[in-house]
Amino acid sequence: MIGRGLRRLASLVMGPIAGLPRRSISLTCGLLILASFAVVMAAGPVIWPHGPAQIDAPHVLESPSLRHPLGTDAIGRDIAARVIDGTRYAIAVPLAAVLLGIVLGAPVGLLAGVFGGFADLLVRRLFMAVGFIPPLVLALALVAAMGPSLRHVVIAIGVLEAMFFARAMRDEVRAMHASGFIEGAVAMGNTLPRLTLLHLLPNTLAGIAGEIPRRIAWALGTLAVMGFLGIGTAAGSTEWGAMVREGVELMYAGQWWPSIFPGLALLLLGFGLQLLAAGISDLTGRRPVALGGPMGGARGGAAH
Amino acid sequence: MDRSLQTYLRLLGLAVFLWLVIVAISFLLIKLGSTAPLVLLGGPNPTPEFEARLIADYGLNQPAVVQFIRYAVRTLTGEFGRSWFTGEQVAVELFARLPATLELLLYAVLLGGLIGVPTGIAAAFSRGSAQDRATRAGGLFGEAMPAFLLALLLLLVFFRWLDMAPAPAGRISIVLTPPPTITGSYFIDSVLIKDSIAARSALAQLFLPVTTLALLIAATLALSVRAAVLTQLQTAHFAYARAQGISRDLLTGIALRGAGPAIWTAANRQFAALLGTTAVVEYVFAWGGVGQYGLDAMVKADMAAVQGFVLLMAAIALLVHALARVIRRVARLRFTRA
Repeated sequence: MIGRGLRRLASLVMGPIAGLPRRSISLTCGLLILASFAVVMAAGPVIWPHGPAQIDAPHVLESPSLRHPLGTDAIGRDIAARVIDGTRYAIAVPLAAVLLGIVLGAPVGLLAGVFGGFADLLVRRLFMAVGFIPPLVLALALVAAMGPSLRHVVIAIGVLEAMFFARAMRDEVRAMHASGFIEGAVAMGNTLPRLTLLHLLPNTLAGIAGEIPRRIAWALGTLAVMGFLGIGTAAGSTEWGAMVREGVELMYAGQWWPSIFPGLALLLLGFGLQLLAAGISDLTGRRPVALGGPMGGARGGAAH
Repeated sequence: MDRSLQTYLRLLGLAVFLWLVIVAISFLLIKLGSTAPLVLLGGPNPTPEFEARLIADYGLNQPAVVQFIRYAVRTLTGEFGRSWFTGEQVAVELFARLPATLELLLYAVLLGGLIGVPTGIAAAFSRGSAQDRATRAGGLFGEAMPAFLLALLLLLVFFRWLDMAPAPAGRISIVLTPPPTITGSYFIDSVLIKDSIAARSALAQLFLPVTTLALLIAATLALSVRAAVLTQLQTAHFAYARAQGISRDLLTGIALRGAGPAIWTAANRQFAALLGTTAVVEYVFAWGGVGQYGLDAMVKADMAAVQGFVLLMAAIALLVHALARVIRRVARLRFTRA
């Protein structure tokens, strides 16, 4: 009796997971990579024998060994422990920035999409203009202008994400206009707030779901460039970009591990996010925005 | 009024509006933070004369609206202010460094296109094959690759381990004098004055930065080209053409002609982002172009230089966008007539 119940529960949970590799390999690989990073972030600091700031003085700049699998840095700190510590930045900052982007961008995009007309045109043209400034350059310039702090890093990346989400949601809503979805909802007696919050917000978010991992990957890359340049994150931080910068001079001298391992962590996490995004696009049958998908261009549909 | 003239006037109006927004963003950069504009523009300890000149030039004791108008007019005349770090005119410094960036970009775009476009086409035509899956995985891998990491990996292998590339220290060996400026490209200029040592050195310095940037371009491009061609392969007119049993070359031609505009637009859309990536690559290789200058300025919070850099990047992207649209228009007219 209990055994049958358990088996049913197991098949309920495992069924979709077991079927996943058949439906999309990229989605499965992406989820696996992301899950391992989540495990490393949660369990790593507890399990790992070394701390990120702990100095192993007799083993300075040691190449990867059994004692220190990723080697040690110039003052004898364990690289693996520091990479594990850095997962906090790599996961929290991009997530916070993308959330901020959705919170700021969604209302603008929804309203522009619902009302259309001059306000929509103005918003679209504004975003088109901003799109000519390389996004990385604008994010860096914003942090340089606001002053270095992790909060400013999140705000700068979040503002650029907001512009993306506003644009993408606006295009989604316009597409719904064309499909008669909004007309139908209004005819059913939905008021404007109800229509926007209950029908448009979930549907547009579902429509751009495949873009969210891609945006997180962009935020991660931008954060890393800031760390690599030394804008925004404090010196000695375990943010991966900052760790890469710290090891550059050593790398030219032949000690490559302090720089390359945090860099590879960045690459792997970014790759996992890209695979996840590609997998979602496969399943939903939608092309990414950057490739001229149905949501119009990276700089806003009709302008092209 | 003539219809095409009307179209051009409307586009001109749009360009003016877009430029005003870009200038406004650049202006806001010194207004946004809690740091006073005088500190951002003048550095940590400016001389009293420099401070007085900043206040006069930017109208810092006047209302923000007046400041903005002054700023917009000044940038229009190519006056981007002075860097507090070097004490030089930002516009002069930027334009002196522009050829270095353009040289890098030109070779990287050419090489990236040569790798990315055929790879994308081949992948689309063999959809689902091992080659296609490898292209897709490679493309996503390239998208995930931080530019500075790829640059460092290539330096580690080709400079440190194999000793096949020179140190990341600019456009030409430091023991050589750069060739006189003819085109602005060290390599072409060295060839033109028949200085084979300088030419070889310039080429060696170009090797890794161009490879880095070209690989990143190729990854993105391969994905867009693959998607654009795949869309064409699924159209009804392509299915009809295939059913007619015409040759493979002709079929390829049909698919490419249809995918052309989509590829062109996708490449054009990624251009602004490419300028950001180029800056990072320049920074790692100490390339001495505008990108390295801009990023250095950001690190020092040298905001006059940052503003100038932002404006220059946007101007280049805007110009390339306009050019791409003209080219597409001409191409379309030619195709419809043919």
